[in-house]
Amino acid sequence: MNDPTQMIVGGLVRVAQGFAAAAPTLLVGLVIAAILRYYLGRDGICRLFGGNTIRSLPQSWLIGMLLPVCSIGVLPILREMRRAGMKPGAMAAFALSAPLFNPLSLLYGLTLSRPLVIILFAIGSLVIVTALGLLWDAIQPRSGAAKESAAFAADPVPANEPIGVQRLAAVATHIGREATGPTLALTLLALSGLAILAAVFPYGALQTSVEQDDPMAPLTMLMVAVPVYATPMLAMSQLGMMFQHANSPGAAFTLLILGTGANLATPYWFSRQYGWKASGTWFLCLLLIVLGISYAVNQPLIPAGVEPAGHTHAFDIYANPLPANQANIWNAGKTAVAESIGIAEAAALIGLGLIAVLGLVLRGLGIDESRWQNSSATLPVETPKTWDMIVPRSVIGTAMLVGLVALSVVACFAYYPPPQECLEEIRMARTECLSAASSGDTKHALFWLPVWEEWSRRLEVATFLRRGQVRPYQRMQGYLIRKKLELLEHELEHDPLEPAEIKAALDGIYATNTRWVNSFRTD
Amino acid sequence: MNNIYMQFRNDSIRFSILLSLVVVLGCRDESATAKQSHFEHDHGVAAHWPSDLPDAAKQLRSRLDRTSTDDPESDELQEEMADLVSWIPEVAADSSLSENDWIPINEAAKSLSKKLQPSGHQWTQSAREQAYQLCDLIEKSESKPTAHPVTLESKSS
Repeated sequence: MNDPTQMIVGGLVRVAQGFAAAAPTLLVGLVIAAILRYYLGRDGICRLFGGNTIRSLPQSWLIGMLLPVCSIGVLPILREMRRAGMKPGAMAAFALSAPLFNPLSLLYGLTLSRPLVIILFAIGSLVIVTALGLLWDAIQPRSGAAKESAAFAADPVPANEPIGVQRLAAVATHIGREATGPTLALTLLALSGLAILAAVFPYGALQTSVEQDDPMAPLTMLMVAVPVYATPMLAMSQLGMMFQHANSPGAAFTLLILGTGANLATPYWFSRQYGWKASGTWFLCLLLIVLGISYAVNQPLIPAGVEPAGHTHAFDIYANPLPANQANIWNAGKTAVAESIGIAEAAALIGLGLIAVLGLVLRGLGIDESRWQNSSATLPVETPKTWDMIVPRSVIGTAMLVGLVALSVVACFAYYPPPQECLEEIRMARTECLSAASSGDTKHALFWLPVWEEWSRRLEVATFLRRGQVRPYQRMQGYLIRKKLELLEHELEHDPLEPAEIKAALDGIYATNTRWVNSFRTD
Repeated sequence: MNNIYMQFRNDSIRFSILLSLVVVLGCRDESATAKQSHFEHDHGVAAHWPSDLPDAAKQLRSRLDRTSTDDPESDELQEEMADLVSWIPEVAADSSLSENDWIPINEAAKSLSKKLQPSGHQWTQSAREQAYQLCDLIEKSESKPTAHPVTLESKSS
């Protein structure tokens, strides 16, 4: 069991790491919510998500797949959907599907050892959100619709809505106040799930919980996945590790749907909006459906030819980050947080920090969005000049959302650079890792090893993105290099070190590396 | 708005109490002793995992020779043969074979694995013949010159 200091420090570390991981997608979620509110408006939102027709369920699922948000970033968007009077079924469909996949993670997933599995998982998620959406819309009493209309009537679209600079000011005000208000509170609630897990599970406690021959694996994962918060990319990389280790595919599916699709704040928010009974029924049905599908796919999706490793490190991130014998626990915690913050996270954290400062200042001055609406109402109505026309907000809003999707496509190419660039990054990481491992500098080697591993994945996605395929031989060499890197990682973690074993692991890596790199150079 | 904050505050208090209970009563570590290694679970390697590609062909052929389709005693051997077939693509990729030589071996092994799956790894005469052909193919490929010599240059590149 973790000691109290470990629980506190480990929990704080996990919350800080989770906040850093969520920062980019939370920022995107806040911006999308503001665009929906001030540019698309109620009608635009209803059109975008298919209104209150049955089409809204698959349409919300599809829109969710395109938008780069996580289960925290989706929360401010849900609030806007609610304000627009969308039915809970469509909102639940969007809430679950938006965090599951985005263009970056979907591409990553398609290059895993069995792309068909990811496609099946995506179809499985559509089945789940549609079934649950229909169920919710059926159980939601008619009085709910009247309540929604009343809620909307209390917040009508102003006749003289802000345009131009006023609208931008309203958007900035809205984002600032959200980032320091309800969305921040929901974010902390979502991240508290990670703190609970870190407090409950000692370091490495989940390494053997989801083996393919363990009939309890999907059920165990269900318990863990409910409080989990995971970004789409993290979940996808965990699926990759699970495939590599031949862990339970059913547990992987459970993790994807519940760990990535929802967090503690998701059922809480729905229950606040629609009552504990309806939300509880929905969440219970979600758990049962996910569990049912997990057990149904568990055996058929076991990969052939992969020797089960008997463990996985994919879920180390949900246990306490600090080992029991860790000296100077606070410093170790700080290091763990610092190592988890990359360039994207740092930039997003700075952006969120600035927005939070703005929000606090606005709150201090008592300024909210209505200030800009009121001032716009007093604007003189002038005849538009030829080049100074008032563009309908739906046009601007649609252009912004399309732009966002286009930007995420561009981001795919930036995040997965051309294979030659990936190979150059790999060369640097490899040199650092192997020379450190050879000279006994295990800390340095263990820092560069995951960098190398991550670039090996990016190399495959980059190749797939530009050439439309990753050849089976390239895929197999990638699998081998990652397997051998993990063996090296194990050797470097041994206490005491065994130099002969490290040398054997390094020799295996040299040979595989040559074949692996050559297979991508010959393209 | 105040109601929302009041609700959230009340929920936060309830949640904190629940959290404290979970943490205090939470799961116990199975071992009170400190770990010697952070990763105690090394990768398990099956006893019949081949040392290299020729060994894979040798092990498969020897089991084929020792079993027959109507031998109920050979269930374990048949399972091991199915394992060997499914491992051959990986073992072949971890050898000095070129990609062009690896492709037919991979396809032959995959095709045979696919054939074995529906029958629960029961070896029909046709599957056995295919397995012998796979062994021949591996032995033929192994006689070719090394495709990926590991050089000092490649070690440092």
